[in-house]
Amino acid sequence: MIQCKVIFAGLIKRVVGTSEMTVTLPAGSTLGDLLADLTARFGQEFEDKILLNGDLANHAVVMIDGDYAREVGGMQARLDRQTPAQVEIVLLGPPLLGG
Amino acid sequence: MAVALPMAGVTEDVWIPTACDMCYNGCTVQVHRVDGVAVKIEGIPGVGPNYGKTCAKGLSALMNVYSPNRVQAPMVRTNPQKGVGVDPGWKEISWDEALDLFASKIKAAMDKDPRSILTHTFDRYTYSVAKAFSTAVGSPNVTMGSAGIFCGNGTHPVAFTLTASNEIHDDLKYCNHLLMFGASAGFVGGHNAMGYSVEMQDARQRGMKLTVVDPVLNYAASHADEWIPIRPGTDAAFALAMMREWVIVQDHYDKTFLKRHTNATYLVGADGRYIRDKATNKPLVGIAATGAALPFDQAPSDEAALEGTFTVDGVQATPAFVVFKKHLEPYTAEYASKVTSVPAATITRVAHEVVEAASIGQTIQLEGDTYPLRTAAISWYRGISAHRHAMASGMLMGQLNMLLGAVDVPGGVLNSSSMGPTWRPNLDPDGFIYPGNPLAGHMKPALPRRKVSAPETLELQELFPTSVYARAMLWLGLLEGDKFGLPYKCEVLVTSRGNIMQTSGDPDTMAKAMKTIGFIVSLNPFEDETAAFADLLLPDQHSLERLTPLVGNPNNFTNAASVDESGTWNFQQPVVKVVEKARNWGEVLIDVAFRAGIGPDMNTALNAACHITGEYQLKRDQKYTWEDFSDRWTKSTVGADHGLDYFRKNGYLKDEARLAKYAYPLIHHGGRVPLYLEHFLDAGVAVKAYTDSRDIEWDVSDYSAVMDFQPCLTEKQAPAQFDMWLVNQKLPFMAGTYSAENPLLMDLAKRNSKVFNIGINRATAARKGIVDGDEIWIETPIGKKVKGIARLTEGIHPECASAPGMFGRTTAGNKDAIGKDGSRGVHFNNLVQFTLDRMDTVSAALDSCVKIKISKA
Amino acid sequence: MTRWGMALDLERCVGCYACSMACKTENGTPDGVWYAPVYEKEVGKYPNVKRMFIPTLCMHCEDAPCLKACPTKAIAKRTDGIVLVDQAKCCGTRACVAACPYGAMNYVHEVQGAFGGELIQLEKQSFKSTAGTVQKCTFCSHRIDAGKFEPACVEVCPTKARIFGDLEDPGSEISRVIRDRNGSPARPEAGTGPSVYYLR
Repeated sequence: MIQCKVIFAGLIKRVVGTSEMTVTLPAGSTLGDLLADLTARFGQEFEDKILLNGDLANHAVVMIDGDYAREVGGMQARLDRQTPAQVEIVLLGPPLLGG
Repeated sequence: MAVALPMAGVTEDVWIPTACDMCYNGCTVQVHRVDGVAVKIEGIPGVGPNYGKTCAKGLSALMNVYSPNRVQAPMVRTNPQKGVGVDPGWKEISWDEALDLFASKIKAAMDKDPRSILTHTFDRYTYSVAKAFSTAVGSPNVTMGSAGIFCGNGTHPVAFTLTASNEIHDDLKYCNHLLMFGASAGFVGGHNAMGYSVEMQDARQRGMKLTVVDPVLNYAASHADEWIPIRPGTDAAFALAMMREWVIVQDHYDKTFLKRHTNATYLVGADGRYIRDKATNKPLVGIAATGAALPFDQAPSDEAALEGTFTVDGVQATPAFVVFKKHLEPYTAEYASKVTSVPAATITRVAHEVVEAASIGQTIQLEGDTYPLRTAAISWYRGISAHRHAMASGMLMGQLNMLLGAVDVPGGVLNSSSMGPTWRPNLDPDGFIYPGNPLAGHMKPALPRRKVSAPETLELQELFPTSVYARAMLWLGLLEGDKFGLPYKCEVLVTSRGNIMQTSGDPDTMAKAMKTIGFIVSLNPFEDETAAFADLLLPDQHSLERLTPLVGNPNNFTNAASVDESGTWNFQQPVVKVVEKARNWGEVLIDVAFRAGIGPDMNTALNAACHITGEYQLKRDQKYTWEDFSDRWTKSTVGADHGLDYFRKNGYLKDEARLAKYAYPLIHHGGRVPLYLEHFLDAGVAVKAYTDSRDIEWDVSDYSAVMDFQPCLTEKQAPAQFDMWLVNQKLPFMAGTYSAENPLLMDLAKRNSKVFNIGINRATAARKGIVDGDEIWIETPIGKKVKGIARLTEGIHPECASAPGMFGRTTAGNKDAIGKDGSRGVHFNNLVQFTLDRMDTVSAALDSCVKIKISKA
Repeated sequence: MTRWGMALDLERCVGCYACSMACKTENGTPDGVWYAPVYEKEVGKYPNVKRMFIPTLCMHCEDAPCLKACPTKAIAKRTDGIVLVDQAKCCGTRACVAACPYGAMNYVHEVQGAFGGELIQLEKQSFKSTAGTVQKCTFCSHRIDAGKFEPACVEVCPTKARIFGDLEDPGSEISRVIRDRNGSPARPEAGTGPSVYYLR
């Protein structure tokens, strides 16, 4: 079993109604499994905010034990690198540049 | 650098490297400080991105620092009445009182609905902190720049489409003919104004031909080989006629590029959608020789057909290019001539000249690879974006480059916002590139396809699935959000280093929108039109007083796009003692977050927004000084050896020279760019479904896979006596509203007849009995009327009058900027109708085509 | 012997005013005084029209009429050709202002700051003016004397529209471009032997 401490920041906090929670997942679970679990708890709106075409949306930043999920396997990133895993899910505002 | 040179009677004489902040570009400069007083600004010889050159604005920045007109202390409004010219009754308070008030308003708004907090800035460098603040409070509302007039609506989405980067840059190293629409790039205007000017002059001396299409003889046109005056808002017709010339008349365009690097060969059915492979869902292409249809990634690109008819599972299909070609048919040079006022012969001649100059089929060897060499390109910017059909016009500019094959190859238009190894383009399932750079990862390119949903942002971004932003819609969200299903009202606006009252469309409309906001905090060095609506006015630091990490950041924003050019990292460091009580607005927002009890989320959000990694990440439960945060951000981005200490000592860091594979990635990334905008079709259907469901009239005609010319509404509706257009023009020595605070720049402005006066074609003026220096009335069809002073010129389209964008001020620290009867110019935006029917419902551009009548006052 | 001169390339100048501002901040001139203004001129008729930008400054004439006109001998030509006003000797007769065919002499009636009223700290430190005297472009002689070579206006120009160098050295870049492009002074009929040439 994997213990996951999940921290929510940004717009996603309103969707989940909390800023922090603990989730227990089967051994070998990935980020994709965690997000599926969270979608089951919080509904389609959660998935719509975080994912686009089954992958992390541009403005969704997920950090696993301080590493950016995109850089450690994306949806396939493993959650058993430290116990408990700390997953920060941040939904950032819109784009960066342009006048 | 920064070495003290002891001289008799002088205790200090140093040059301190930093980055300029008088416009968007962040040039590397050095400041001469003698006995604690900064006395001179210069470039650092050879150092980028400005190659050691500094413009009039940057050179004069000290006048903004030492201006006696600066906001001196935090102030709170005592007069509840807000409006232009209404005295707010400012009362000075302490920083502590101010920040507690600020934090209490944030907390109250968060309790009501965190989305009701809007954060705005036009500080490109510290923007990430605004984004983090917005994220920490739990709001999607963070915005940048103007609130109406933008230059990028018709540029960034096209840049993403062509290069998976939000900016493009013409490869002046190899280009032999540049055709420029509505821009002054290379003439101390636009992005990397100085660096690009250096490159432009080198290219011009090398013999590169420059043709400029613009209603005004702008700074680029002044020096071009040819200026082609055009009727405002009609560039799309010009572009379509050029493409018709290439594709239908001459059969001269880059077919290899289209086959290998676009979706021109993708088969489409009668409904305009791709015909997809049943097993893989991949779009199919037709093979000319066999008549077979294969998934695009399983067919040899060069064997895929651009023309013909195919039958797939009994369904008729044609390559997308057939549709593209057919839609060009009506756009003859004669038709375009009627629309644009440009002679048909000129349009066909320019079309020939450009395609001849493109050297289609030629290649060049660079670093062991063979690249297509396309020595002609089409450049465009704000002039194209300033229209209701900005997306269509911009996409057509992109398509001109695609037909030349001049995209991300030597001599063409290049990706420039994200360079080097971090660019990492990704491919969507249909084979198209989109950005993968973590620093650009929060952008909103049109691909992969985005969903349309009920608006949750004040800018109604959710209704703009193919645009990069929808910032000009802010007024609509503020005033009529409920009509669009927005579930809250704006409670707090935090605005810094920007003047959205002056940069929006019609300020009367914007004033109404501003008055709907519960509480406005303005962090600003000067009391401007926006501050006039603020409840709390906080003195912001000048760039020469503040510490700002990563001003120049080649992974994020650069225009050193050509091969062998280097991006430059730089930063801002305090050069002079902070004036009075001014504070860095970024630091203030972090302070407020902690006071509001959301410090841990602010740290997490700063990590995410700034992409701070590993050991440099901020821990949730600690409060960091601005300096510590800046050092972590810098080291995380540039490396352990390049923290603040490095930059303090050296000022800047030159990146490695750009390799050919990064400058010209087309042949390397394996992705395609969509010539045929199939993804626009479903986007339009989804937008229509939502707006219909709420009984909102919303134009979706530009959600088309092929772009057409449509005249702007002004043209269709204005009564006949409104026989002229008002257009605006740029000046190389003025930018935004900030430069009007500078008396040296204002003195230059007064000495230049183009700044405060209204340019009118000499023949037109003669017909109307107007002579040089006459006071004139300018009136719009909806009854807006302003006085101006006529300047007669040969350098403007006879149907146009011109005024620079940022004058006719009503509130400014520098009272000299506020004139009477047009003596300090007219406020162009004041005449721009700020209504939904004047806006591009695809790119969110505000139409700057203003019909006017002029008469002697 | 060195004779400093400047070539102004009208093909390259884009009218950005960087030179005017670099000069102003380098030389600390009072409100309204610009040693190096740039003028604009439209050439041609719509639509075949161009806009020329014409940078100007003191021409540092070989046979300087200002020098000859000055009754107090406040104006002198250095051996390297640079013509300078000694403000300690200038008593403001303005004879030089009338004599200069190029309008390069600026009489400073009052040393005013850019914001009006009192001079700001920066102006107190950087202004080098005396009220009631004439001031003009110095070819940034203080920079040349300090070994910095180029005047501020030249160093700053993004389009290399200004070339500075030794007119007496036939191998210098300035001598070469004047030769190659047939450079000529403004208003040659004034016959003052300017050290500033225009490349058209």
